[in-house]
Amino acid sequence: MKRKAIYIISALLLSACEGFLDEKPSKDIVVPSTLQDLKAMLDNTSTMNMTSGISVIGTDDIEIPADGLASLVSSTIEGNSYLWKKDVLEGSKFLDWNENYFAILTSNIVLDQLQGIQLTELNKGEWEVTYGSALFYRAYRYYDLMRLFSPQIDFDNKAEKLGVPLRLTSDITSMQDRASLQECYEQIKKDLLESITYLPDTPQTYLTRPSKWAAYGLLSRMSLQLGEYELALDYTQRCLAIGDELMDYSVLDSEAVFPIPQFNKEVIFHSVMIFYSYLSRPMTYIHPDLIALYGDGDLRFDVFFRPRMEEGKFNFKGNYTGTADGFSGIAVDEIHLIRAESLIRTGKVIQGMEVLNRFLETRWDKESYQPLLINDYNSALKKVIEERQKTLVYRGTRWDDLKRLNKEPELQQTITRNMDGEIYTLLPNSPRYAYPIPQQELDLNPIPQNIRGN
Amino acid sequence: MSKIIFILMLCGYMQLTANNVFAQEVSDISGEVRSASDREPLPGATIVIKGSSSATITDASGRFSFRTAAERVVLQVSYLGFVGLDTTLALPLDRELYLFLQADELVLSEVEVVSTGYQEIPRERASGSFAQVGQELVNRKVSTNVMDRLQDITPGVIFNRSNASNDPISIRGRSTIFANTMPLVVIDNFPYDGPLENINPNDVESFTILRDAAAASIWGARAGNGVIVITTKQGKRNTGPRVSLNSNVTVSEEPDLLYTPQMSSEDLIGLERMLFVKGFYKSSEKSINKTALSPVVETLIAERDGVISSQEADRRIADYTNHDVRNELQKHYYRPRLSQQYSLGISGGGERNTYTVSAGYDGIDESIVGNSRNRLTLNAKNTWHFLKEKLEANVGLYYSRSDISTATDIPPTYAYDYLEGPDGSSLPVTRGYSRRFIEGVEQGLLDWNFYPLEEIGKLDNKSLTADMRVNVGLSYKIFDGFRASLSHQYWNNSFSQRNHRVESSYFVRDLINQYTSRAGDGSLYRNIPEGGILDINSLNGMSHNFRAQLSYDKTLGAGRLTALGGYEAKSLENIGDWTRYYGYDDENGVSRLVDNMSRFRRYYNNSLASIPSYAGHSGTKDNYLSWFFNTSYVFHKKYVFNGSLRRDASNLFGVRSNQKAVPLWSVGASWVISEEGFWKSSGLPFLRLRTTYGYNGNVDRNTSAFTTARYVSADAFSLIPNLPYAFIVNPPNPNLRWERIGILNIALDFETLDGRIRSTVEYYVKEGKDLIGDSPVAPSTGKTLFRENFADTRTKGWDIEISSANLQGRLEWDTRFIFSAVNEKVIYYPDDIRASTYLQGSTRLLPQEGKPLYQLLSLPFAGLDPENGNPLIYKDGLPSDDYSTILSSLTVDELIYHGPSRPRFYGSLMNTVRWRNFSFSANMSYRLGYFYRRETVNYSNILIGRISHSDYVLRWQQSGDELVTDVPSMPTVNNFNRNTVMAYGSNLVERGDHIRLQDIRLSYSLKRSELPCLPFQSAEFYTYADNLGILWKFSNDPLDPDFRTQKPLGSVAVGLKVNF
Repeated sequence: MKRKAIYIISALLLSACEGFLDEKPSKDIVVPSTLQDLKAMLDNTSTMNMTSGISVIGTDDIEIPADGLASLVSSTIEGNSYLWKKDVLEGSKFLDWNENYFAILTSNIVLDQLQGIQLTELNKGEWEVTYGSALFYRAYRYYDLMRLFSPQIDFDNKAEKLGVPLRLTSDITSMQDRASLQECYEQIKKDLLESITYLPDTPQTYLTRPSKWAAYGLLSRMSLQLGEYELALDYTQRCLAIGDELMDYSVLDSEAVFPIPQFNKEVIFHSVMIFYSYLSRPMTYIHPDLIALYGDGDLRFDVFFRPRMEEGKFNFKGNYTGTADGFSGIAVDEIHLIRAESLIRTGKVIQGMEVLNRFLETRWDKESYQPLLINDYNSALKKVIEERQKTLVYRGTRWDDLKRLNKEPELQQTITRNMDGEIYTLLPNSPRYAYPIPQQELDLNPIPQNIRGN
Repeated sequence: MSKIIFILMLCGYMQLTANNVFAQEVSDISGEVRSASDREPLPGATIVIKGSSSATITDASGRFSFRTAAERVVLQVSYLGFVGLDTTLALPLDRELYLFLQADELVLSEVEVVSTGYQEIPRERASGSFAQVGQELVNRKVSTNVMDRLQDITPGVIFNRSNASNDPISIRGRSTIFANTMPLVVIDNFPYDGPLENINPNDVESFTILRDAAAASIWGARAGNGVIVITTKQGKRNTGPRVSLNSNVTVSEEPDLLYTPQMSSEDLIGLERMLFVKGFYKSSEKSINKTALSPVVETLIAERDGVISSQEADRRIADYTNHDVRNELQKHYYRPRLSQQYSLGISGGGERNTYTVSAGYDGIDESIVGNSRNRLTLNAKNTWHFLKEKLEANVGLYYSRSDISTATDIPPTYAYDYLEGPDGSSLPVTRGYSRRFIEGVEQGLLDWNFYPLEEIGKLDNKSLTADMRVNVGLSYKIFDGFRASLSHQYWNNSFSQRNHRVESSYFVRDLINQYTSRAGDGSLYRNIPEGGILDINSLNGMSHNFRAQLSYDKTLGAGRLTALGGYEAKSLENIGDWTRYYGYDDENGVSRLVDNMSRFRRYYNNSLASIPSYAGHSGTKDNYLSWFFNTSYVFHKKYVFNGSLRRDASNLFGVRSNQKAVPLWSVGASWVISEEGFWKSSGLPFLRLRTTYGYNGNVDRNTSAFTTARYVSADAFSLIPNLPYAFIVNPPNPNLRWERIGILNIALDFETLDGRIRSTVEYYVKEGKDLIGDSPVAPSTGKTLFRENFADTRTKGWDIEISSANLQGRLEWDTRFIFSAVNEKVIYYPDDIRASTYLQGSTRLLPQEGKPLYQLLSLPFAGLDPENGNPLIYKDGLPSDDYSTILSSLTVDELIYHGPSRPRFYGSLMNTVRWRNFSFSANMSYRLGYFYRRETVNYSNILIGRISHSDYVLRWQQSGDELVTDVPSMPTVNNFNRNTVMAYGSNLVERGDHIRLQDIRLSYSLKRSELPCLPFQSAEFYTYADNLGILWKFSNDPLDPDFRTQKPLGSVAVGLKVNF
């Protein structure tokens, strides 16, 4: 009898133990394993919808006087980037590198965990969207890294290991060398094309979530950058087929502090630049050369720029974020411009100008808009590139444009800064178009640093 | 043989007297039995008339009486722990009889027990390292907090002072890097999960500190940082109710705001003028965020724009120049801290039970005006014995309630702000936004000014903590030496906070204004309704502890075997919820809903934000299952062998089940050398050698083997309000294990003749294995740091305690000296960080192989450059000012290693003198063998117009200054690397060694045994003074080496303790 009781008690204790030791120790902590958990990780907009924010400071879109430069929060990274100094980071950490890789890790974890989730009839839809989204986010961030840390790809350097380390699993114990430029772009393209098979046409509920629309948008952007204009034509067509509506700038309130609303109808995929103080400082002026390009009746001027008290100085206010944050996402306006340029570059100058004119109509005062009548290849190309610069201010694309146009002698640019009489110059195809990789990376993963000359 | 003859003779004598009984009168004998040392009555002492069957027992006050007809009697008095007394009396007596018993020293040390929380072990049967703090030392200090009573009196225990926020107390050094650092606290046999502030020190009978594996390993995976066992007071059987009352009042100094040296207002203003001329404020001035600028900068702007004349500007600035806001803050916000303590305890016992009931109240008026806290504690503890001592049952109830009321916060101010006008009016100061913006805002907004003085006492922030413990236990003696016991503890702690910010407070006015929007017609409307803001916060903790234990204790031949084993289950749960109500009206108890879903344009900068909902939830659950076994065998009373084994399992997140359980064990032996036949030393009648070895464990709740993510409710600035998201906390780490700490302890105990000098000397080696550390990883992995089990540490040290009775007799003088040496070293920690990062090793944990966990390194300072006042650093043997090269290419060997930044040697020397009814004791504490870094001016603050250290005045300004100062010149532009070099130069490093007079205590006691007319048994008047100052320090630095931002505040207490 006694023995029996002991058996029963031990059995009870043991069976109680199993559940007892498996209880979740914290409510808010979770081993992400359900689709809901994985989706929530991708919904972390402050990580997943963030891209590099430094590149605008190196372009010819802005100018910062010496006292403005001195008052920036990070005089190291921001100041050195503005003047294209050889050492930008001086040992400090670089969010533009780290944050992109953190988003890539998140994508990789989601992709790895999804392999462990049984596909059923019920969860198939969710599973596919989540899988496609993770692929898109990964591609989006690798593309962002390439813009900043790699030189413009060309026939001579494409096989060189000038890309970035390609990490495709969540195992953080293995190290990756830099991949070649070609390998990197191929991986991005592969991820995007695969994501298209899983993603819905338009984003689920929020514009911070990926879609086929966004994937085609990024493919268009990338094809243009790589000089694959036929492909760019194809992708822009697919992208615009899902949605091509443009805002009419004449209905915007240009007097408002931020005239362009967030999540407006042009936004395909919303992402924000990593915060840098220069992006919203009053002494970050729009470059006078750019200001000079806008004609009378061009609505973009009043919508984009806020005049300062200082004579002839302007700040930027036309963010597609509706706030002081820089917009780095994909929007319909950019796709139209890519389409126009691709048409022109593939010899369809007339069609290209048609696309451009249709686009510009929405940016101009209806009364004063005169359609551009250009049928010569070179003028058309120059025009469409100029309109790109005038439209995509503060969008992070100017740096990419400078990089790719430098490969064409007639379009390349030399930028100079005059800092208290000292002249700084960024020559076409300068190695300083590729940012240095942070020292923390090189210390632990001995990959070659970008050579930035003397 | 002679003894027997003597007794026989006595018997014969008694026989004779008995024969004469009729011829004699019957007489009464009455009196008291007391302890000879402290004159305390001894209840329950046995008194026998030798040779008769008459016997009696003293009552609760030590009194006895009986009748006898004899003419002459021999009284035999006996009491456990005291030497028996035989006294011959001629009757009748004409006076009360006072019998004083001498404590039996030898017997006492046999009775002395140490508690592990599982069992009470007679000291002689324990081989482990136990440090005990008895009643006298517990009561010596006056404090509200129970842990304060341990400070500076326990060998091996240090209260850390530098960067101690996560390890305020260490036992024998820090045993871990990033895992839990707190020693386990056990109260009345169960771990206590609540905040220690809830324990009333007046209820504490003793502390036992378990320092080595043999002592602590029975606590297994939670014992890695040592264990502090608190035993509360317990009544004694067969004693009447003993009532004790203790009351005291403590007054502490006001905090000294001028303690840290700071630039003068004049210097700061000079700086602001310079920056203004350089245009530094230009962009802030025009900033869309309406950036707040200091009053001087605003004055300069007004002057430049012609709003005020330059005479007016100069006048205003001159006013600021002569002003220091700290004086005003001191005057309006601070006061001496006053704390009162009252406690009442009643204890006693009958033939079959014991009881203790106590109540305590502590009330504190904090040093900030309007803030106060108080605590009420109630305890009741009962034990019953049934069935001829076979069954024992006990119940303990403990309740504590703490109220904290915060009415005032210290406002953020500029160094020269005026808070009060000459007419006593309250002045607004700049906060959050520029004065130009605030002064120019349109009608329709609430007053956007911040008036610090009007906010005094305006906060209505109250919190209440109620803590309850219920202990029940049953123990049954199954047969001789074999007991089974079951015990259970339920603990509940509920914390609730209610922070009501009234409508007129700046916080509320500011938030309402921020979320005021403009409607289509240009009119203003409020998205946050007018009224107060009420934040509610509640946290609920609950735990169950269950223990089933079998114990065996039996003399077997020449030895004695003790064993216990059992099973323990524990579940600890914490649940928290918080929320906010807007438009709150305290009078009618109504609040209003706001739209937390939409994003609004904020009034001052047009950015989009949703109204903060301040809602959240938290919940944690820790489950543990443990099995334990402990045994000891004592042979011939001189050889002791101990062993223990424990296995813990927990729901620690993600750890694979085969790694969930970790066995921890210990073995130990002790040998009383002085009991051996060969030991003849008369100088050392007692000498014992002990040694133990074993493992304790430690847990890091925050690390997991699997990927973990944390869920967050979206905040006010999220892109998409109300879309919950998750972020990754840990990438997967399948190799995660528990930390283990192996401890070897070797100890020697000895006593000289009569116990005049008693000493314990212990040497230990602790090896931390598989410690969890952060290893830096390449950022391309997605993380910059990765937490894993890879580090090893080794700590060696000594703990020495010597007590000496220097003088005995009418004037008594005792000395107690404690000394601890601790030498921690990181044995394995692959270093992958830049050498210059180690410069922060005194304030951040940056483990480096071969060095202590907290170390102080500096750059070799080579003076100032006579040309420009730049700080120079030796690089490759030559002075250099190439700062970025210095910081990036300096090797660890080129840095100067000064030593640890935590004391290598510490302890105290306490002297106690007793004369008549006076007792005086003074405790000096010392900390030696460590380094700290002096603060200096920070030019990156200076260059953005923020106030900094007063070294600014001493800075290099012209050639030749380098001969008299080591404060570098002010650079024209901020140079991060130069600032780093300045802050970490070897010239700023100081030795921390010092001796301080920690406290003194003077008391006067009265006893009924000496003054029979007293209405109470005994009373003690005492006064206690704490933080009396530094007696000696190595460095010339005027500030206290351990207290850099505020001096330790002196305090004086007076009190009275009465026993009835």
